[in-house]
Formats: sequence, structure tokens, C-alpha cells
Amino acid sequence: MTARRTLSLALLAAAALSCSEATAPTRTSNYEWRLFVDSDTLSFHWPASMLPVTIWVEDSLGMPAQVEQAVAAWKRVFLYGEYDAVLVSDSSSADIVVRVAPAPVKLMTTAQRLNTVFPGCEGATDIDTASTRYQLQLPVRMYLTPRYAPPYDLTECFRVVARHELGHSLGLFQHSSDNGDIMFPQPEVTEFSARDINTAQVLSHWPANLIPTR
Amino acid sequence: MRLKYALPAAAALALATPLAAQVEVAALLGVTGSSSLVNDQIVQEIELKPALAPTFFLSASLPVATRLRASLDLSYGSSSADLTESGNASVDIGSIGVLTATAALSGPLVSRLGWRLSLGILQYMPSEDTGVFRDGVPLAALFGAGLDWRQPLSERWTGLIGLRYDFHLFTTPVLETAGFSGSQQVSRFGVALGAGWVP
Repeated sequence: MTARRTLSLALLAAAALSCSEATAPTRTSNYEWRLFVDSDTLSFHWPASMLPVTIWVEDSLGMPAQVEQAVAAWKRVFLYGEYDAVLVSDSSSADIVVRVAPAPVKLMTTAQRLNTVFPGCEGATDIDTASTRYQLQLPVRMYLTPRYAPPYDLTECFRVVARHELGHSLGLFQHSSDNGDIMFPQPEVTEFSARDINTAQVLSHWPANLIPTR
Repeated sequence: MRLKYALPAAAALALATPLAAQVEVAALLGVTGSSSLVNDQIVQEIELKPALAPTFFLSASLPVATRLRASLDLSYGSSSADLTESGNASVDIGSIGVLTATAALSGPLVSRLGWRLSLGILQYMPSEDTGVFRDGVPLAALFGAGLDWRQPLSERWTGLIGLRYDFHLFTTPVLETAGFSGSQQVSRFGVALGAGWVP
């Protein structure tokens, strides 16, 4: 085989290999996630320097396992390592505190409370933007609680509500108006929709104007 | 009884000795740069690209015709995978190793300069199964070309400077699920310095 023939074959192989081009998907289908306080439009996502986000979960009704599954599910939504979280045993230094209890009477005047109701259980997340409105006061506080006493099987209910509330802690500071999304205030689905995924991906690259603080 | 084994052994040795004398084992160390693995648009342009990777090349070749050698080559390099968004500094999202195995043909070009062409496979080995690498990365077919500068150092040793180019298509199951169509064309360029040894 001459060098010229070898080279020709190689060029043919290269041409055959190079006949495709990757095209990124469009992410036009999403919902409003930003928090509106008076005239302010507030956007947040966890900065890379704070990953993994630390979460303390009250050890009751198997909630740590539910939250761990919710973290894993949200991690799968992102393509470039934009989100990671771990459960920790010390609530005093956690970025997110999850209580298995009804949400208390809202005392923080600067906090927005997002409530969720699912058959069997409910949840709430307080987003405290402090008085400055450019700071997110940590820890973000989440409340998950059963609506019925055991032995009612709450596994599926907590699975969905944990995902929903964790979504708020990612920066989804509004509810979706579409009942096909898990961020709908009364979720009717158990998995993320394409709109949930698109919105989370977009928010994670949207310039954030809320800075986490303690 | 002894003769039964001695004859084939002698024959094998007689064949192997000249062959061994023509085998060359080469090892090179260098760096490899790569074009982007993923180009995306989420609010801003996003590019995922391996950083310059220190790379080790190992090759064993033998002549198959006049002015033509065939070789089996391995290379391994590792570097960080950098995510860059328009207007922002790149973020290191973990390290990524690249292993290649190729069969190559090579021959002289002019003076001490030689050509080489290769076909083989490439495997990405990310340090963490997250993001686009979460569900693994399939093997990719690889086409390569290169130039070698050979400087005889002694009867058995040859100094080598190698320039390498290769091309493959990149995709992952996560990218396909996310709606990426087609595969990303990835070009890699390498330069390496090493030596060849004839046993």
C-alpha cells in the first residue's frame, strides 16, 4: 500500500466521521421562577463556591431518605454540575434546615412563604430575603408534615413534596401555573416535567442578584 | 521426546529473532489539547472543554513492507474538564482521563520526518459520574494522523518528536436524553517527546 493510497483512505474515513454536528436543545418552555418583592425582581442560584449545599433533616418519618432521593433527582436535572447537596448532622451550620413539623406562624416579615399541598401531606419553604432584598438569609427553612396520622402510607406523598420544596431551595421562588409541573402548588404529577427541568436549568445560569448570607 | 519440543522451539526462535530485531518500542510524553466536547446555550453560551492534558504515548511497531511500518499504540492523558460561560471565568467541574488504543501505519516522508495514520477507539474516563458524564460515555471511533521526527541516538535508540492530531465524535446518553441531536466533532492536537528502542 503506497503512502498516497493510505492517505486517501484516511481522508475518506475522516470525511465519513465528520458528517454530523451536535445541536443543543432549545429551552424556551419554562415558567417564571423569580421572586418579586415590591418593584424588585430577585433571582437566586447556589454559587459554585457553596456546593455541595448542606442540608440538615429532622430524623422523623424516614424524611432523611426522602430528601436524599430528592437531592439525587434534582442533581439529574443539571448537565454541568450546577447543583450538589449533602445531608449533614449539625443543623447549626446547614444551608437548609428541614423540619418534620407544621410550618410555624410566620414571624419574619422579610420572608416569603411558599406552601404546597399534596393528598396526605404538605410542605412549606420560607425564603427570607432579609431587609436588604439582595441577601438570602440562611438557613432556608423547609417544613414537611403529614396531614393524616399513620398508618396512612405517606411515602409517595413525601417523595413528591420533598422534591417540590427542594425545588424552592434551588431558586424556584414561584409556583408554576401548570398542573403538569411538579412545582404546581398542588402537584398532580410525581416526576419533573420538561418545563420543570428547563426552568431549573435556566435559573442556574441566570445572573443571580441574591447573595446567600448568615 | 526432547526433539519433539526442541525443533518447533528452534524454528520459532529462528523466526522470532529477526522479527524481534525489527520491532521498535517507543514511549513519548507530551501534552494534548482538545476542542470543546459540548457547546450549549442556557441563557449564555456554554462550552465544556478538557484543559491541556499531560499525555503518555506507548507504541510497538514492526515493518510490514518496504518503507511501511504497522504499530499498536496506546495513549493516556488526564486533565480538568472546564466549563466556560460567556464573559465568565471557567469552572473546573472535575477531571477527565482519555484512553486511546489505535492501530497505525507509518513511513518516512522526507529526511528524518515520517508520517503516521491511525484508526482506533477512544474512551473518556471522568473522575465523577455527574452531569453529562452521569450515565457513562460510550466508546468513540478515532481517526488520527501525525508526524514524527526521528533522531538516531545509538544503534538501538532513537530520539522522537511527535505531532499528533486525532478526531472523534462525542456524545453521551445524558446529552441525548437532554435533547442534543447529533454528536460533537472533537479534534485533539498533541505534541510529545520521547524515545524508540529496538530490542
